[in-house]
Amino acid sequence: MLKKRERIEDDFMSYGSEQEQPKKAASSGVLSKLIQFLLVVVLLGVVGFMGLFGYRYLQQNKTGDNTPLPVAKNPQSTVPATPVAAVAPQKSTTMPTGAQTIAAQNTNAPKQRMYTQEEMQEIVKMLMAQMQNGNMHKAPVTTPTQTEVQQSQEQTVKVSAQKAEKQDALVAALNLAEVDEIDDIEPEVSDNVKNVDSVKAKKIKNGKKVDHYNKVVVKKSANSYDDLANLSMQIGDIVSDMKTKKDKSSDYTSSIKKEVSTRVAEMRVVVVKSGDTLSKIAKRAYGKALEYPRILKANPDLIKNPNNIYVGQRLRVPMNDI
Amino acid sequence: MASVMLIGSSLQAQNDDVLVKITPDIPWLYVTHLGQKVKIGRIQDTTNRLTDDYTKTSRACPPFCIHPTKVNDKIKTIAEVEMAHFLKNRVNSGKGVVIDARLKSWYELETIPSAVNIPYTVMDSGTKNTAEKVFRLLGMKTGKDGKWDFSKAKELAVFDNGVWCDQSRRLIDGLLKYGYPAQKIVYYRDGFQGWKLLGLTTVVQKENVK
Repeated sequence: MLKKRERIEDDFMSYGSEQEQPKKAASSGVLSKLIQFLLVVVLLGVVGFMGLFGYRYLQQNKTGDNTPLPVAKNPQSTVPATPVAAVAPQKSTTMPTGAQTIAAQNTNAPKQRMYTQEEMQEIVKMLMAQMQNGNMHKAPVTTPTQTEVQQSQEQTVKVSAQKAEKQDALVAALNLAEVDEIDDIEPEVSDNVKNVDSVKAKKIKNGKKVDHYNKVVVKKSANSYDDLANLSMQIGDIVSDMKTKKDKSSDYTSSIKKEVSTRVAEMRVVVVKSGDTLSKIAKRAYGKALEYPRILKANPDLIKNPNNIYVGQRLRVPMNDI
Repeated sequence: MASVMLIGSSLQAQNDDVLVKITPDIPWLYVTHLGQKVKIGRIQDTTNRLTDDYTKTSRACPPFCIHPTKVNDKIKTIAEVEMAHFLKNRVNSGKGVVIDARLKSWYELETIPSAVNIPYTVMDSGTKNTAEKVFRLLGMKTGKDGKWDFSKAKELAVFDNGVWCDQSRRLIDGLLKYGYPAQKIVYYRDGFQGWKLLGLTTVVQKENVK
């Protein structure tokens, strides 16, 4: 045994020296070559595995923290698309550059993932609670979307397969599309507008509201007519007289009539009553409380804050999906 | 006169508070619709977008084809700024009327404040008798020689759904056919879609409420 080891050591020492080779080769050439070969294989294997695991580790970090936000968002970071910079842009002022950035990214990466899981658990809990409570609470169905939206606004958008399943597909898509931030506009609705149901409701219930509809509902009341109203009514009479006498519908008239029925379906509204929630409204408009995403879709300003409904508000509830 | 001055000065005072104005000088204006005072302004939320109606891009052509700038060589085509001035100066003084040339169902659904509905079918398939009735209401008189005198007749700003809609052209053709003077008619080509796209106030008579 001892001799053998000596030989191996000799082999090592004299590896590559051409003078020694012929002597040793005669006695233990096959064995030493085998061992050399094995060592090389083992070394290669170790290097290969390290490389592979290292690569995987990097890949995991990438998928965990990568965001779809544009790199240009943070001009201070020298590393392109640095996950930390994208996830927490408020840290960008204190952020180091170069190699230090990468170190910070590695230490912060697991924290970010933990946070996401907690968030996930919260959302699941809330969803469960809402499913149990049903329609008992005010605006129960709308709460998750709100938290989701807030969450995504705080941390910007994180693409995670699990989360995407839980999250409403529409809300996710809208988040990705970078929803506009509504600036606070001072309420400047004139007092002079009379008999305007929509504006009235907003003024009473929510003085800070901006009118997104700008539709005035007018009602016929003969005692307030002016010349223009009389003209309108008289011409209206002629028109309706004509209709009863003659109903000659040209091709164009019939196609424009079809268009108007489409529009009637698109324009349908719901007036928010006291105690209404989005799900109640969905039940009223579509027969199913779970159809509330259709209301969100038709009223995009509600997506940011679905609780932002108020009595007298007119919400669009189109018959056809838009 | 005094009230006009008063309105003018109050407008001046609040002018700067309006973020989205109709024109730099006109933040909003008032008209009446069916006797109700209606303030025409624009939606103040600068992130607002149309979502439900009038976002439709495509309709079969023919019949809903894109219209050329002019409906007729004699008829002037106008846009929103001219419409604002027309409403402020002509309509409010009784000299002009905004005419909605669309079918009654369209008109009742939603229209430009102060608009009077004369569906194109009135002129398209109506008789000279109906035209005369309408014209008289619009200020046409019969002269001593028995001819129709349009010197006191109102100026008309005719609109329909917009550039894809043929209803204005049909109404204007009918008006001209029965002798309404071309210089008293203007064509608002962008129509109701253009009006909506700018977030201008609309009036609704029949709401489809669920």
